[in-house]
Amino acid sequence: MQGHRIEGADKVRGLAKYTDDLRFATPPLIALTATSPVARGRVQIDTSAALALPGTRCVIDHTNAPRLKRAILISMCEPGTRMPLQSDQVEYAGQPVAIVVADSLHAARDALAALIVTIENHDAPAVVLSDAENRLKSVRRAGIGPGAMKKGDADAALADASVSAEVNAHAAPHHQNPMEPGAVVARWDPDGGVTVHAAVQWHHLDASMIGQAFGLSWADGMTGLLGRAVLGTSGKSKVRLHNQLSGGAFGRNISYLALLLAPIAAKVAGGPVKLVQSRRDTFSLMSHRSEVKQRLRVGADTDGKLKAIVLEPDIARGNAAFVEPIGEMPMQLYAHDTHRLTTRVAKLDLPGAGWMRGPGVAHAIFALEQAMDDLARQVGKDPLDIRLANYSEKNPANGKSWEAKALLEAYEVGAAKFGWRDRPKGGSVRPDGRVSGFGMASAIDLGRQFPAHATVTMTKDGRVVVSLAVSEMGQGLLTGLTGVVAEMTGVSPDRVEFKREATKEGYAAGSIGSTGTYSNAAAVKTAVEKIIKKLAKAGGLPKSSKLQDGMLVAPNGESAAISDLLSRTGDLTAKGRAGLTFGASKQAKASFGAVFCEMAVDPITLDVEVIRLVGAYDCGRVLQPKIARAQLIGAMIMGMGQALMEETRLDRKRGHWTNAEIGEALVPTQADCPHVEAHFVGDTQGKPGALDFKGIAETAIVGVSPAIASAFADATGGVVHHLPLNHAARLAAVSRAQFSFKEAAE
Amino acid sequence: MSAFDITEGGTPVDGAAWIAGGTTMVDLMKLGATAPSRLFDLGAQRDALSGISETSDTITLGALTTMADAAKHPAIRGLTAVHTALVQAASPQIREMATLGGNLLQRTRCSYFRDTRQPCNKRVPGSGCPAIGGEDGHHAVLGGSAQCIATYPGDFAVVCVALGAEITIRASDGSERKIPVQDLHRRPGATPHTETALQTGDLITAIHLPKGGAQSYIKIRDRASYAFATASAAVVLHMDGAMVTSARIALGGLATVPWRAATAEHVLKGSMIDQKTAFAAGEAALQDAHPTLTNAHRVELGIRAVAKAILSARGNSV
Ligand SMILES: Cc1cc2nc3c(=O)[nH]c(=O)nc-3n(C[C@H](O)[C@H](O)[C@H](O)COP(=O)(O)OP(=O)(O)OC[C@H]3O[C@@H](n4cnc5c(N)ncnc54)[C@H](O)[C@@H]3O)c2cc1C
Ligand code: SF4
Repeated sequence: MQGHRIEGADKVRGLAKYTDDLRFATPPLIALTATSPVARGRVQIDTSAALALPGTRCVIDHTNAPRLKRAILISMCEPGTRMPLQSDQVEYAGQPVAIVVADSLHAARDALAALIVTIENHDAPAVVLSDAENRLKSVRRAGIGPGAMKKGDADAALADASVSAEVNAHAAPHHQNPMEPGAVVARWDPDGGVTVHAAVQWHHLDASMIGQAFGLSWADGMTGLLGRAVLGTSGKSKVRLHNQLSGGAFGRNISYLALLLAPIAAKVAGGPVKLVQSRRDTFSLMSHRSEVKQRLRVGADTDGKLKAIVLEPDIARGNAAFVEPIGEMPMQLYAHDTHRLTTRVAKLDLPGAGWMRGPGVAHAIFALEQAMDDLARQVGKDPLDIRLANYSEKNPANGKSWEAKALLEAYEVGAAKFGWRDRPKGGSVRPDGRVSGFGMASAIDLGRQFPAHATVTMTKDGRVVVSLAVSEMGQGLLTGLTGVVAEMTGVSPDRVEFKREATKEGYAAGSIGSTGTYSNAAAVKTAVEKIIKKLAKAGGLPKSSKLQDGMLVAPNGESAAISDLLSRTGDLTAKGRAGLTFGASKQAKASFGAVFCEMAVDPITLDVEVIRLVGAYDCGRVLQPKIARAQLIGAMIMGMGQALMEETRLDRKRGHWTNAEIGEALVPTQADCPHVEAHFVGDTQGKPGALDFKGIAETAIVGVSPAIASAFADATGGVVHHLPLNHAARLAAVSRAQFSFKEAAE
Repeated sequence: MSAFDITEGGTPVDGAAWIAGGTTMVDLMKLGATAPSRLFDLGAQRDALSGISETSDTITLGALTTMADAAKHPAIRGLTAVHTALVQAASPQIREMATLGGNLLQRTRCSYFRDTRQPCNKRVPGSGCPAIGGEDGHHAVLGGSAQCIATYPGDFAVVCVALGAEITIRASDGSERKIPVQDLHRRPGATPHTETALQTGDLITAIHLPKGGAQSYIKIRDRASYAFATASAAVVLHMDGAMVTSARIALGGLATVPWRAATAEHVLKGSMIDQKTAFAAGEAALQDAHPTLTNAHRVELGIRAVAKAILSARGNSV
């Protein structure tokens, strides 16, 4: 069943279990969260009416919630020192101010409606960057990326450059909004530990947050020597987190507040509790992609070769440590002589921001590619040629050679499949009266690796059991890893068993940043290599032997049946660790791509239709082409949503997200989806024995928004530096006189 | 959602309401934005009150006809603007449930109205209107008051106003009256919670659409499906050769009620249609707009919607 998701059939038949579907011997009470309607003030809650209702078990607010300890920075989107329900201070709209616990969902709703929440409102909040000029502070680091960087004297080089371009890009905040709103079940255990059922992207990290907050243990978030030194042996933690499937996540299901609220509720209620999130809750109890402004200036010679890149981002931060890592990637895409990065961050009165597909890079490449288009116009080059002229053999930021880079092939294949070189002129009128535009952009995303710790057992009856707590959010990781394990061990995929749901299993790298397959496969590989050594010893074969089709095969062709060897040795177990250097190595690693867009624009209404999106991607070895292609296409459509419509709006006086509903926070519908093609380039087979995986989905969201903005500019002459490129932004870029009258007069 | 009764017989009195397809009603009850104590299910009257009939100059639709059934009917396909407004509204799933009577009476999408944590004069009279001076990007630039600037979101009613359509209303005493759709919706004024000319217990039984005229409905929105109009325009033209003898124009997505743009109609009357007159009519239609910094672009969008609708109605006339 190559290419079919292992859990796919269950999902289609409605048998797949999400947290909300779990049934327990003792049915949990139901908890709902009351949140603040405004961003600042002090909260007072009158609970008497809610408590008087027959179905209400308890109401928890800052006066009776257990005191929590802070959780140190691990994922950066955890609340840190701002633990929920610890004081009457309101710091953002949507902040949890109380939890009601009741016998049923209906009773909980009634209790929630009966709570009287009063906020004594003080000063006005700042929730958008334009209201927070006085809060901007220069930073050395912006989240996981650099905040300040310098190569040569970029300002002088910019001043001397023959050609220069300036882009002032602005991107509105928006939310990940996967399908599942989510629920968290918590139960305190007799030994003082806590069992939590929740959809998460990184089991041990979130177990660590819970452990720290409730004073249980923080070591689950660690791995390797440090973790073991602190924890003794793994599996002793009193935080028992169970993760079923998650109905999408896109970065949102990391260190979210419900993971703390449910145990709080269970503690006070004295029994198991299920905390249910409404869709509106998810907008403030979970993270979002933050607002970013970028001033980008580039200087080039008359051939369009980059001499200087000066990037000055202003980034919004909410009530978490997370900062969108804008500065990380733009210096790694094109050859250039000098650069300067100066980042400022403003802490706003918003919920914590967090990870979302293509963190930092999606915004950053939008600005850079707009500048490249401007340079191309100025030096009279085709957009593709200016990118070719700035192609860099080495990583331009640190001079390292790339482990693999097939960007040139991506340009070539993408352009050929799209017909880029023979495209009609931008602005030409289509038979239906609309105007055509064509645009393209490059894509890049850094290859990272995170620590993982797998235990692999080969059993006498021919199964391979892997203990590794990986998350399956629909991205196909489980299927991909099962394929890798099957290949490494020479058994068929249906004999591979993943034990992945509970934190008692091996520490896995989180499903973030398209790093899951690479990081976790590396840990499994190390374990399998140890097993091979043991098998080889038992069979008198060299250590360099491989497992293939049920045999251990030596380089000289000599072989022995694995089942025979295992019947001699008994079940074999080995542990494997990887990623302790977080992927740092002598060579630089990144995925690359090129994406091409055809658009039609109505000259009167400025309605746009993306007609075609064609991408070509070097994402290393492609294990399951069907799943990988689905990931690419999905991410390209997500990029289109980011380009055209995704934004969560804010009320600047009260400070809340206004369109916090799935019907109002727009994402593309099927009717918006163009003809989408994704092609693989580079070494899709991988070198024998090497893993050679790179990120897939994160890369494919990058480049789409600039390609779409370029196509719009090509059609209309209007340059848009604001995302989303909605009607307001389009109207600001194109006047009637410039475009509509001229074209519509035809 | 708070507890409520549901019944099939009888007529709503204070605090109670009709329910047809429920796509507006149940949505708002789930949010807590409306909480009728009792619902009177129109399901039992569905057979009697749905269906489409035609005379030489009018198409009559039962008020319980679903949007999907109406859009499929050959007679409706002949009324281009009506057909467009129906198929571009909501989603196919919703259109299967939603009735035309319910559609006319759908409530605003104002985010403050839908979020029960926020004040709102329409939901809780006297509590204030945070949209004014707040996040008003999708609020009305026409027909607002100091108490409420909520946009009427629907499409079909806008076309009905442009066509000069009427509805039949049956009162709780059984008496029937006919009013133009244009008189159904009330501007918010000092009483934003009073939205229509209907009394409690009044039932819309039928909608009467005049035939004829070159027509078009243009809906500008932020995505290709399943989105309300950012600005829309319905135009019905009667032409003598290339000259407009009469025009009716209505705006959607921009005003507190489906908005008849009479000034724009005067601009067109007696003129030949070209891009210039189309835009001039658009400008006339929006001349009384009261935009704010955050929704000013929708004035320009409204002008463009009208211009496009006029040009395509002319196109549809040949
Ligand atoms: C996500 C979403 C997107 C949408 N997008 C659009 C869109 O783009 N364009 C658009 O035009 N609409 C849109 N709609 C609105 C939708 O068309 C309406 O909800 C629907 O038409 C209402 O019809 P219903 O039969 O479900 O009404 P109900 O929800 O049953 O009733 C609505 C109201 O009308 C009253 N009522 C119903 N029938 C009668 C009657 N015969 N006489 C008197 N009172 C009556 C009810 O008491 C209630 O107050 C959307 C709705 C949703 C949920
Ligand atoms: S505009 Fe009207 S519906 Fe919206 S908040 Fe104000 S009063 Fe309420």
